[in-house]
Amino acid sequence: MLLACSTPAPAPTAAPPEPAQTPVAADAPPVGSIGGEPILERPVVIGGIPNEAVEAVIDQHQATLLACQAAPRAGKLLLHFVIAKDGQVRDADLRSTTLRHPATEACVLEALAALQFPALSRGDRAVVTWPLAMP
Amino acid sequence: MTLLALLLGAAPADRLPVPRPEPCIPITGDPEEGEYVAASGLSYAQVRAALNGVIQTALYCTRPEGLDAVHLTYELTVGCDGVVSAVVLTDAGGAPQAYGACVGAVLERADFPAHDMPDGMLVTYPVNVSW
Repeated sequence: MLLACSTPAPAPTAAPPEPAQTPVAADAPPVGSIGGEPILERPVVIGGIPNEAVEAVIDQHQATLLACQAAPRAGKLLLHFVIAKDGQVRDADLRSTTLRHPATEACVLEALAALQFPALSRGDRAVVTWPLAMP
Repeated sequence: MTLLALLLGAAPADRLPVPRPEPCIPITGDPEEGEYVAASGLSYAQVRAALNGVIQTALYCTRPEGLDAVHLTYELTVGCDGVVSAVVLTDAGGAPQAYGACVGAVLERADFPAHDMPDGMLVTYPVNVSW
């Protein structure tokens, strides 16, 4: 019996690999981090000392604070500090800056820490948020 | 077209709703009666909350090639109706114009409460981005 000899079917070739179907989230959250601290024009003083008294001391020492300016351009700093019962500055820190000039910012904080405010009329501490423009 | 597709094709700012203006808050006190009149504007907490509500959306702005971090500074004018009336990029920090414009458009969608400063309130906003 003659058997029909059919051409052997070609060995199945490996199908070209499908492109990897890495599941991509349709709306994947973006990578990175972003944020900032706003600077308003108005200072805020919370505690037993009037805003005017804080302003008077800062005005009186404005030249010292501004003498720190070593940045090549103008900017704004947002200072945050605590006035203790005896009028001394505690915990001065920089909340925000458009200057981004560490040497200037450190100098301002050092000068700020040396300021003497009037003693508080009530309470143990006053919290101050103060914007400072550096020309 | 699905909402998702719309979102994927849209500018990052278009992911956020357009804030609705609110009635301005009148300044209290009558100067003719000898009362002290002063607008107080928005508090730090109010400004921070409004900006925090939108700023993460700016991460959808296309990262500028070759940069690991950028520091931008914006000046926003917030109208007494709570709507941002102007956004000015005062310092692009080396980022391309298009990137600064994209982040600025997102900030324009910040939804502030109404306040009592009829000429608007100026907010300086330094934005730090890193990838």
